[in-house]
Amino acid sequence: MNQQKLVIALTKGRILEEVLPLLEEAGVIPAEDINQSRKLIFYSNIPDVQIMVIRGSDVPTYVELGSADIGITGKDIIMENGSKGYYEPLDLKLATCRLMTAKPINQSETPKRLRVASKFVNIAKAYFSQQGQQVDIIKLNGALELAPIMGMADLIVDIVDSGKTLKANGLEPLDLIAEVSTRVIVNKAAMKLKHDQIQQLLQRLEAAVK
Amino acid sequence: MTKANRWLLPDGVDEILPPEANNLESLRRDILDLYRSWGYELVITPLIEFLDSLSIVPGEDLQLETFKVVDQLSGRTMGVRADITSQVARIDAHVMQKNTPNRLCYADSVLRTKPSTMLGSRSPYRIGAELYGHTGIDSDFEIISLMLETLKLAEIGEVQLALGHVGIYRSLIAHAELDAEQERKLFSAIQSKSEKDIDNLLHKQKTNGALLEMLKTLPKLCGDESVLDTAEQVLSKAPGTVLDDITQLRSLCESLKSRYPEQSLYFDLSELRGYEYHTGVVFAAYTIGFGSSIAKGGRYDDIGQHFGRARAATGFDSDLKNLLALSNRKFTVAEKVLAPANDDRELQALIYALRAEGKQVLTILSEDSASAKDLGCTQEIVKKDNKWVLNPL
Repeated sequence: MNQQKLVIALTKGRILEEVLPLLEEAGVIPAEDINQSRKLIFYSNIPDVQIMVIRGSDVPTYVELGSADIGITGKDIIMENGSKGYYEPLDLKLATCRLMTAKPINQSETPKRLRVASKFVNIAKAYFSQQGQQVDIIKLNGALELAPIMGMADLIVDIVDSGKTLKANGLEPLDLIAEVSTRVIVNKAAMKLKHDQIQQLLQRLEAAVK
Repeated sequence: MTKANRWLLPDGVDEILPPEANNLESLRRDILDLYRSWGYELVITPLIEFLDSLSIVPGEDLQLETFKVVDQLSGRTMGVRADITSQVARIDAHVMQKNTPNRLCYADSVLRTKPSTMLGSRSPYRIGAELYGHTGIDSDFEIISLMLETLKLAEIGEVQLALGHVGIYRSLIAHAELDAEQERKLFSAIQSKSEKDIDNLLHKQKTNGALLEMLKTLPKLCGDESVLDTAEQVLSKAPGTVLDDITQLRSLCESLKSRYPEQSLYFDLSELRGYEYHTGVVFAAYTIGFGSSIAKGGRYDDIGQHFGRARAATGFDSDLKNLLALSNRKFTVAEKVLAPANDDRELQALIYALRAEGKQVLTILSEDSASAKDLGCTQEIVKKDNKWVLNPL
């Protein structure tokens, strides 16, 4: 197939700051400074390559539906999305953290039906059912540590980096669900239709990671 | 439901209005004519049947995708078809038993409880063809050719044909000595080509190093036909039928290249779509502007066993609504002619002749104030010099 337009969806925020240098090393440089602009889609130094900057949780949606060919986002978001519409060929080893359960310090384990607060409803559901534990899940969008303090939940499932936020709120990490890092995802149809372009980029990115 | 939203259709359920409905119908007829010209006989399967006969594919996916109702007459659970292939397999295995190859085709709506993507339909219109009773590569080649012809007829434009063979993964995993849980995880990691997840899973395995290496390489074996050369090297010591499977893909590749020299081919040896029921060559077609496959199929030799008679089988299907949306075809609509309300014999003879020619003739209704233009007519019948003639508008 002929040369085609290639759209890369990046996650804005902390991941973006770490991903841009990596992309640059792989030969893709945005035509203008992404951090200085309010635009959402950018041209790059390569004529066929465009870069869009969106919320991490929207990256899998764009890639699954084929509006973006390649996406860069966290493993936590990919797991929560759970779609089979894309490949996940490369680990960029950036923004690493752990997805864990956490509980209030000194909370003794009781056999009752637990209430779990999380942003990651699907992951939490799958994890506890795998553990053979029936739980009720409360979907929250942030400041999860509050839920156990206010007595709304017994446990939380959240991203743990240093563990300081947990500690400051009287919580402690309990079990590891998954190691999280930044991954590259590729739409399954795009991988077939734009194979050479995508493979080249993946190889250069892989080299840049090393 | 309040009055205000009574018009609302459920998520993923659509209706097709003019002129698309007309276009869809012409495309459907043309495609079915194509299948007939290849010797494929049309079957019309029931909209609903007992769930047992629909759930012939192992695994939960199709079960969950099927709408279910309880039959008031028998007390058994019935399912609204979510897929037509399994019904056609039942027909071949049971009511149309033959000892010779059986070529069947179909075109109908199905229902799914869940859309495949956020924008996916829950009421797709499946059109496809199945070939039963032949094991060799010839039938795979025939079915793939027919799929390509379908896409050509629908004027989809340039398509990429992706080929794989589930036998390769099957042979490797059968010798890998993994437990069920590991196998399940490895399967999903290979399907998402996640090198990291595969590494995490396999690095603890001490035995069978060479085989695990092969499983690790599998997701990377994708690209143009040179992949087959690489595969022959890296999988040269592979157990089971792996090398035969690669040879099958190669001979399919040669046949396709000679019949369709312009067709671009893509190989992915870790393509495991439909792994629960596919047994051999699998294939799918992709086109720019559509985020998933537009037509797909493969070999599924053992399905008929469910009905007491295992038969070699291969086939493909596609969603006619998607084909229409992607089609570059110029659909023509017959001209509309407005005729006066008059029982005059000559006028009626003219109307009859025009309709036989394929024109749409509308008769003015009494007290109808709509003009010819309102009705979308481009011509009207008027009386000139005592004769009925067509008058362009």
